[in-house]
Amino acid sequence: MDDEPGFDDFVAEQTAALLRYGYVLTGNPHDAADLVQEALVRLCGAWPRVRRKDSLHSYVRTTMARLHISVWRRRRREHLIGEPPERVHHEVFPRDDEQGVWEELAALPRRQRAVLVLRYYEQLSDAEIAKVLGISTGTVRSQAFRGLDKLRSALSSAPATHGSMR
Amino acid sequence: MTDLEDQLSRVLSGAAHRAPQPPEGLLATVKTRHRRRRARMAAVRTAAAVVLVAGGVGAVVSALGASAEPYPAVSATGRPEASPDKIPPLIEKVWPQAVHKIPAKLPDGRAYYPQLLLDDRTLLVMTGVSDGKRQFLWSYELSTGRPRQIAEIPPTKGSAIFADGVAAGGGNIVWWASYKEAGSPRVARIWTVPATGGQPRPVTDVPLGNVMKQGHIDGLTVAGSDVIFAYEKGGVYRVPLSGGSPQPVKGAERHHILRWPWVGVHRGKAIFRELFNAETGERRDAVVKADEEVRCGVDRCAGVAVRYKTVKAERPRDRSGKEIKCGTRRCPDTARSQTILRRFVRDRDGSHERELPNSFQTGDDAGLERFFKVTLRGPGDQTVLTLYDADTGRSADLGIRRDAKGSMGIPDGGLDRLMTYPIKNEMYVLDLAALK
Repeated sequence: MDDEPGFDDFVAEQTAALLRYGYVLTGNPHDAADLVQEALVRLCGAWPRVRRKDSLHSYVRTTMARLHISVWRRRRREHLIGEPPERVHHEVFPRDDEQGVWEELAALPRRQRAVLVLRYYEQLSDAEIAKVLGISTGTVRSQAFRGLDKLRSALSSAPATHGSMR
Repeated sequence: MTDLEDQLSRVLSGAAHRAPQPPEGLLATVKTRHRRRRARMAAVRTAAAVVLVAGGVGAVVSALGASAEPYPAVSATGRPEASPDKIPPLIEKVWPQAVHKIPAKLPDGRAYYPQLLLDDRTLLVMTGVSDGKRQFLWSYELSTGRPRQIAEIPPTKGSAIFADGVAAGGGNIVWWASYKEAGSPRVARIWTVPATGGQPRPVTDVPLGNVMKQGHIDGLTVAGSDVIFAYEKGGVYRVPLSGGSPQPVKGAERHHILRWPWVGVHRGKAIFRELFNAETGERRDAVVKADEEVRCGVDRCAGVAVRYKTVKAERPRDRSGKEIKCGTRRCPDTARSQTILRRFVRDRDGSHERELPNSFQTGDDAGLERFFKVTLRGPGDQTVLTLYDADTGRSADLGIRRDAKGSMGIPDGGLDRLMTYPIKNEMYVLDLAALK
C-alpha cells in the first residue's frame, strides 16, 4: 500500500526475529505465527503514527508481549475448537533436562513466562520489563521469582517424567 | 546467575532456533486483515452512533455484536470465528457501592500508585514511583479527594529496589527497600512511620544473600507490635517494630506467608495446599485430587482439572493454510496436549464446588478469594476484562479497553479487598469488602 512507506521493509527485515521471539514467548509454532501476524496487523494500523519512531522494534515486541498475556490468543482458539488442547508441548530438545525446562515453562501462567522470557531471552532489566508489560517492578520481581521457584520445584520433583512421553 | 537461570537462557535461545520460518505471503495477509478490520471498525462505529441516539447503553452492546457480523474474521481453518462473548454491564452499574472514581493525578499533577486502604475512606498512595527521584507516601481521602503527605521515603544509597511491600496495621506503615554498601552483602532495610505522619525510622536490616538465587523478602505484615516477613525462598521471621534482630517464627522455617498468621509451603502444582496458623498452631490441609492444579487461599482453592496426552502434531500452518517450517528442521511430530476438564473454586475441605468461567485467569490471586478476573472477547476481537463474583455468579465489566497504542493496563490487586486501575484521567479504586 502506498500510504504505508517502510512497512513492507520492516516486515521483510523483522519477521524472522519476531517469530523467534514469538516462539519462545508462546512455546509453539502455531501461536508464534498467529501472534506475529496479529502484532503486524496492529502495527499496520498504527504505522502512520509510529513509523518515524526509533523504537519500532520494541513497539512491536511490547505489543506481542501484551497480546500474549492478555489471553487474546487462547480465547480465539477456544472459540474455534471447543475444549481444546490448550497448551501444546512440542518435543524440541535432544536433551531430556532441556526438554524438561521447556515443558515446565509451558505450565507457567502467561505473565510469569513473559517475565522470564523478557529477562532471560531478551535480557531486559526488571525496570524495562515493567514498562513492557505495564506492571510495577515489584510485580516483575515477584513474578520472576515465583516463575523460577515453580520451575525449580517442578524440575526437582518430577525429573523422571520428562522425555518419557514420546 | 544460578544454574537454572543459565539453563533457562540456553533453553530459550536454543528454542528460538527452532522457531517457524516466515510464511510466504505474510505481508499480503497482514494488509488484507488490516483493511478488513478497518472496514469492520468503521461499521461498528456507525452502528454505535445510531444506537446511542436511539436507546440506552445496554442496547449498544448487543448492537455492536450484531454489526460485526457482516464482516466475519476468518481463522486459519477457514471457519468463521465465533461470535463475541456477552459483555456484562460496567462495574459502576453492577456494584456502585464498591467503586470510587478519583482523579488519576494528585491536585499538584503528580502521578501516584495506590498501595492499600488504611480504612473504608482512606487510600494510601505513593508518588515518585515512575520518575524514581523522591518518593512520598500520602493518605488520600476518597470522599473529599484531599491528599495529605505522610512522609518522604528516605532514599537509600545503592538501592536497587525502592520502597516495596508497603503494609499497614495498628496505626503504623511499614515497607522495605533493598540496600547495599560496597564490600558488604545486600540487605533489605525495613522502615516504619506512623500513619498519621512523621519521620520514617529503620526497624531492622535483613541480610539477603544472593538475591538472584534466593530472592528478596515479601509478605510484610504489621502484627501487633511486630513486623512479620518471609524470605521469597521461604522462611518466616518476626521483628519488633521498635527494632532488634529478626527471629525465625517457630514451625514456619520454610514457609511463605499467605495471610498472616496463615503460612504454607508451595508443593508442585498445589499452591498453599497445606496451611499452618503460626499463632495458634492450627493446620488446614486442602482436598486436592491428582489431576488438579490449584491455588489456595485461607478458605478456598481455585484451579483446574487437567488431562495431559501425547498426540501426533498437525503440521503447523499459517492463517492462509501454508505450512510453517521450524528452522532448518522439520517441525516436531508429537506434542503433549493439555485439556482443561474443569475450572472450579471450592472450600478447602472439598465442599461447595462451583464452576468458574472458561477464561478466568488461573494462578492469579482472587480478591477476597471470591472475585476472579475473567477475560472476555468483545465485538471486533476486543479484549474485555471483567470481574466475576463466585458467590453470586454476577459479573461486571471493569471498563478497561486498549488505548490507541493497543496496550491495556492490568489491574493491580491481590488477595485483599483493594483493586485499582487507571482509565484515562480517572483512577478506579474498588473496595471489594463493600460487597456483602
